[in-house]
Amino acid sequence: MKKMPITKRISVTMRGFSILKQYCPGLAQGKAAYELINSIQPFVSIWFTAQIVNEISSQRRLQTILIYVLGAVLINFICALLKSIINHVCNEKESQMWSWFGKVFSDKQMSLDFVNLENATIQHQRQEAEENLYMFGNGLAQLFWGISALVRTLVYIVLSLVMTVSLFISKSGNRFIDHPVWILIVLVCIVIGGLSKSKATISENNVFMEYCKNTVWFNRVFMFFGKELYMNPEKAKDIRIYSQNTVAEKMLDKLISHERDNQSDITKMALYPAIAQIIIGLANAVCYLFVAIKALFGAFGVGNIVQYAAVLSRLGEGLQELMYILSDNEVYCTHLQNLFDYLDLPNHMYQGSLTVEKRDDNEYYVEFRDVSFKYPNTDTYVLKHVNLKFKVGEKLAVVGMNGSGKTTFIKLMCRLYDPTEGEILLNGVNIKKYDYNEYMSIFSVVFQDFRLFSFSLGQNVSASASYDRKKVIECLKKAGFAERLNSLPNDLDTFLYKDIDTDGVEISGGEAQKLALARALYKNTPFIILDEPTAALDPISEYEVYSKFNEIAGTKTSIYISHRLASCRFCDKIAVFHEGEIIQIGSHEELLSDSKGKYYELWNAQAQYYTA
Amino acid sequence: MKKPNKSSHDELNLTKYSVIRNIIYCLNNTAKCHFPLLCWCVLKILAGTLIPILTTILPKTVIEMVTVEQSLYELVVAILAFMGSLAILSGADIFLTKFIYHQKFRMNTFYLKRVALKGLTTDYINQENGIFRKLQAESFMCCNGNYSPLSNIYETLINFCTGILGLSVFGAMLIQVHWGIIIFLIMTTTISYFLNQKIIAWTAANNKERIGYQQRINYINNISGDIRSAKDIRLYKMAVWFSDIYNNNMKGIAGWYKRLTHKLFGVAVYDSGLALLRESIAYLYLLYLIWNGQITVAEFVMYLSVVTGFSAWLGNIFSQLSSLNQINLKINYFRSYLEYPETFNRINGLISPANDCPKVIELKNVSYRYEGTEHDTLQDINLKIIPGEHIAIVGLNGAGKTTLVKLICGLIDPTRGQVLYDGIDIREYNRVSFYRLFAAVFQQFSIMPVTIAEIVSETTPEKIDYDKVKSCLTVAGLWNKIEQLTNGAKSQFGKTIYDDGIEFSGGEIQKLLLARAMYKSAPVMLLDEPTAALDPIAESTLYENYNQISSKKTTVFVSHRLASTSFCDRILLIENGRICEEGNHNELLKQNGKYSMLFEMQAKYYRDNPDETEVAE
Repeated sequence: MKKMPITKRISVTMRGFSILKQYCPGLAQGKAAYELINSIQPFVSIWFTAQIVNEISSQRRLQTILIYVLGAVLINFICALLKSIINHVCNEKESQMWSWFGKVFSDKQMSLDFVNLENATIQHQRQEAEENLYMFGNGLAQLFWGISALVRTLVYIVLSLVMTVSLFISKSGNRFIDHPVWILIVLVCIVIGGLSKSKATISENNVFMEYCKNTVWFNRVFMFFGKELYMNPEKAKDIRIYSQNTVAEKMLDKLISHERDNQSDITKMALYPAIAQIIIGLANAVCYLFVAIKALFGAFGVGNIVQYAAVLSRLGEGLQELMYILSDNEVYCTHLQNLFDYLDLPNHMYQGSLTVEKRDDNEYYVEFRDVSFKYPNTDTYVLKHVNLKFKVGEKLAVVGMNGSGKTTFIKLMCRLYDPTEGEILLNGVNIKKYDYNEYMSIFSVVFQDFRLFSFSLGQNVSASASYDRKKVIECLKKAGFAERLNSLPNDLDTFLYKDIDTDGVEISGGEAQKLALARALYKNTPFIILDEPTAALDPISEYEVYSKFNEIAGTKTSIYISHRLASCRFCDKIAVFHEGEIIQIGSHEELLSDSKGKYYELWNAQAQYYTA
Repeated sequence: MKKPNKSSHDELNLTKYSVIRNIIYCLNNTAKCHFPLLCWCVLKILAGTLIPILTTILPKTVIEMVTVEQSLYELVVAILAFMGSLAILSGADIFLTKFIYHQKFRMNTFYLKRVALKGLTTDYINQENGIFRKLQAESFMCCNGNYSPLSNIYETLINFCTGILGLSVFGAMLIQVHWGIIIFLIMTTTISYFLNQKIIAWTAANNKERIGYQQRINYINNISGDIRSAKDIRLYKMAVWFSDIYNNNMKGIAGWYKRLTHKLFGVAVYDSGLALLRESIAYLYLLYLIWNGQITVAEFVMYLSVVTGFSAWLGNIFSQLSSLNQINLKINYFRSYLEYPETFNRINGLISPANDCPKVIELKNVSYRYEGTEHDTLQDINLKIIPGEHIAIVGLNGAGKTTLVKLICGLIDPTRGQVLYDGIDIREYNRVSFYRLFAAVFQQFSIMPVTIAEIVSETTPEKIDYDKVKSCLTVAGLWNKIEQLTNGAKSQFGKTIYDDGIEFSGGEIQKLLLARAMYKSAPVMLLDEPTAALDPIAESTLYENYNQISSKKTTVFVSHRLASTSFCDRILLIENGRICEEGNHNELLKQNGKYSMLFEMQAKYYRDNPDETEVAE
């Protein structure tokens, strides 16, 4: 792992915080506020107690004492009140933190160029960042968790220094103990304590990593013989007939003895931090001794003993934590950088700016000019030198065998991909020059693998949170969903599927296809593209959809992809794709008259079963 | 601290032991499995109690010494003694905390072994029982992971005992001041505890709403990151729709938090008010004592921290008690599972000789009904299988064929009627030894991730007869593959445990199962659809070898391919839970009944062209 320069680390950390702020509003602030109060409170308490004790053991002014007492209890009251509220809210919010983090990824996924979604390297990059985050909290979660330590360290170091300055500068009159070398010794002790703690943490982690390496076998045996074997009811018969419990028992015994063999690692992991703790304890002893001796020689009152002793050990804790924070920061910065690399992937699709003319007369034409395409990181062209021109109102059918490039052709047309070579023109202008969103808004597509979501029916058809109910119902009727609509419990507000609403309805594949069609109709665009829209429909519904669709799509430019060649007959033009090329184009009759052509072959392959 | 538990799991809590009894149960097991762990725990309790006590006494001692201007030497000795012991104690405390944390995993494995063995050997029928399976899953959770109830109990008990010890010491110190203080502290802390319970109750009661928001947010996150939705999202600009829903739910959650904060504020005011009251009274009372000269300044400092410590410990005890309650519920699941009643004879019962020749199997008026169903799966079956007979059972899906096989080999006992082996009701036999009479190939199988030879022989490596393994694999038609492996029959099966294990196709697995059944050389062989995954050639080979496999054995062959049953002595056609036709292949065909009809239906596809359509040209 390369070391990140400190300036870079600062900027990465800052950006991490700004993401936290954007996606998890209030969480980081809440945590910081809590820790601020939590770490200041003991200092305040200590200070008041010290004052009270000093006053009691010196002048004993009742009024002063009572004011101090009042101050102490009131401040404690306010702190406790704030703390308990912030703490509860923070804890609840923290439990949701993970879904907020999820949004960071899903936002990027939604705006990512489609081509990058299918790019294995980029998706691996995302997956890795996501896994590290969810499994170990690496990155954003670590950053968040680190807030407490950060605040605490700052408060501890600053306040302890402030509250112990008087310890170091006060004079007892005894030349031996007043010698500045003592100050040095005390500070060195504190630093040694801090160093030993961070050293111990590092050594413990190293042993732990080793320890984990040995656990792969253990975990697998644990999960199979300790869970899978008896939890899976399918296995129960064989287990009994072949008394597999004897082998299982042996394996489980092996697990137990394996654990016994790990003793030395365990001892090490426990011993390192224990030794560090003893060193810290001894460092504290030196500090305490210094305070007490100075007090004994009359440098300050008894109250200050309480104050200095308590505060010095906190100075030590602050330093210990500072070391930890620095090493932790290095770890999460690396992970955050990985996340940012993914988030910063450029979106090429959004570079165009031309607006698409909103024409009521649907005067559009699309032209493919020598378009070739291969998927990124592959060598074979899926489309080769496709030339095609079609204009408004035309109905184009695309046919061909599996893998001939039909769906890719559609994806290029609606700009999910850009061509590798050649260009696609809309009204004579390269489609890359149009604003991406505007360009997309002239197409409605029902893809083969369309998706519906577990929200209300109305929202699914309109693809938005608020919609025109009348129009939705109209589209549903056109798509042949009217009958089912009447049987739904909550009309358009009925939820699809049961993931979100347990009263949601399950819909069959055929019904889903009708809904996807209704969604395309609702969008009401000049172009309508259907990729195998009737595959899941039985023959009767298929006929219904086609006959009605003809009537709806009347004036629109429409493209059909279908294996059912009969359904392509009514199209003005049929393009036959074969191995990425358009090998034939023309009307049904024209194509069928060429008895050596692919279309003829395809047609007859299906027709033989139907033409008796 | 016993509270009625209203969760849906209540039906699971079959045995209800008290917290005390469950603690004793855990301690007993720990003593048996890993006695040192108990010692570590005791040491940890001592360290955990001593540290705060020393920390409280230290300032008092130092202040006293400073105020009376004791000699430097004595001061240094006192401080070094105190701080030295504190350093060692806190070192020990950290050591023990970490050590116990790692050591207690051994108990997980110890308990897990019990759970596994119970699950592996329980009456077969229990594994088809919903409650038993829920208990089984709960019991697994009881001993799985870093924070499983059965390993968390150590920390909980340590904290609880530390709390009790600390409380008594501090209580003893306070009682010298005034007993009223103790009563007062107990009262305020108890009220605080119950106030906080109110918040927990509110959160629990309103959690459903929050989980709803949460679910929708998670759903949005999932679908918007999902590549399968990506095309639709882009073309229909669904990002707007999704973020509307996301924002709505975020608003919902924010509202929920507002209400929670509101609720919290009310409780927190009371709670902190109580703390305020507690502190003020402690301060004032101690000041009063010091004013009257009843205590010294040093004692004043000490008692201040004793008061705070006392209520902290009390609060700790309360929270440990509620965790103990939680843990107790889980341990009761665990024990209910281990003590789940069994009906089969295991320790006693007739021992059946394993390597014997087959005996008569007889079913007398046997009916079987699965729990929770309204109809008998099998009704009034009477069947006598003579030794060495080859029986075929045929019928449609769901007719009850597999149930019949399970009854014959004693995996389940009939609801009514009797199954007799050698004239003795199988319930009389020791069930474990009874299973030795059967070799079986079921549709649903279990192959463990061990070596091929171990799988075939179902025994430990030192007892394997490798020649027999080879011959069984040869007859099953799998030896060709095994021979080519680097480690031969000693290769690991599957990648469950070892990354270099060998993967098998469905057909190969069926051959392996067959070889295993042959290796067992039990008097009765049960084959339930053993050819479903075999290709036509492998299937016909099996039929050709069937005589070799089945000689001198009683065999029961279940199939829905009627052609495959012609080599059996007797064919039973099961329909609607009854044997409706019986006889050999030719006899049944002559009967012109259901069997003949089914046979014709299947045969037609082999004889004629099913599609009579003319080819248009």
